[in-house]
Amino acid sequence: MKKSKLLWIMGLVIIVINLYVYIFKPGGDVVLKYFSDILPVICSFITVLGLSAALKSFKVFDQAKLSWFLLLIGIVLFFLGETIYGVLELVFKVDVANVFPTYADWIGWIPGYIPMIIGLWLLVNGYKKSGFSFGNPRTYVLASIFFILLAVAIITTILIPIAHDSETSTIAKYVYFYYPIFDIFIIVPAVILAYITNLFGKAKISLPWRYIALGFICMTIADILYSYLQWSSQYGSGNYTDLAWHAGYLFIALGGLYQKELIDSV
Amino acid sequence: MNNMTDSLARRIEIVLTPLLGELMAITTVKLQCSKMGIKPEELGYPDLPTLAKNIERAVIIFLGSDKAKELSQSIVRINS
Repeated sequence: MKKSKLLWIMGLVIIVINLYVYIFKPGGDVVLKYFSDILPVICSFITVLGLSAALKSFKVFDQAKLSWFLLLIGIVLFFLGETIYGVLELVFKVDVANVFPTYADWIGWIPGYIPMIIGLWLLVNGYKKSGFSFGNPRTYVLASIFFILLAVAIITTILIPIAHDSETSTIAKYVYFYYPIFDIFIIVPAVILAYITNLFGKAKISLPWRYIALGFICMTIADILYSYLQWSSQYGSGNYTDLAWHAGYLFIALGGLYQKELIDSV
Repeated sequence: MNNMTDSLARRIEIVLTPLLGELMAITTVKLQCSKMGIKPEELGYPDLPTLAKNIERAVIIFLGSDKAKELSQSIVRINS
């Protein structure tokens, strides 16, 4: 059985179990807390494996390999973030729902964005150089309008209320600002990649990018929701936002495996 | 003569289709031919190395340099 097919099955099992635990809460809040902290570590680790497989399949260190390498570095840092977050809450009993930012932000998530953004833009740039069609320019105009509206919505519903909140420290405010702003830098190339892959129909060359784009879109939506929920103290173990993160990680892992399978097939 | 050269463009499309999908394969051959200043039906065996090199450059970001080169070589081999 192909590894991508195996991951599909494994991913579906993970998401179904995740949903079951979040809805029915078997074992109460303690199990929920463990589940909510350990599952992101597992999902991000699977993504590290998926992207490593993709990276290994490239023989020459060119722009394509550099892009995947940067995505892997970003995901490794996210994996560190997830692990530190879990350890802080489960081992050191830190009230992570009310302490922000934590070491998980400083060591994992904050630096993790940079290589991922560069990696995604390198893929878009590489595609631009390829000479393949970029599709209908009108779509980009409409997408730009959508992103401007999204940015305005994020600024008015998340950033301005946080900026005016006297109970939030200045450093926490900077971090709260960092995530949604950098999410926009991630979602723009991710949506461009999703659109490009759509132009190729079901062709296998575009399959890895399709899942990479889908994964980052899921994670960005989760991130934007998290920024608001965390600031308004509505985020805690068992929040459904987690599902979008877990699905996002698994989609990116699938993208990695499809990339390996694509290269092996040529 | 036309049928033979037509089939050369078609044979390249057939090589590319599993990878790019049928529509993109046709578009790619058409685009690369137009860059070379010829129509797909005018494509001849002497044009193959240039066309293959252009396609290699186009797919590098998806496949990496080594596999893009292999694909390019498989296009050139249509000649033999």
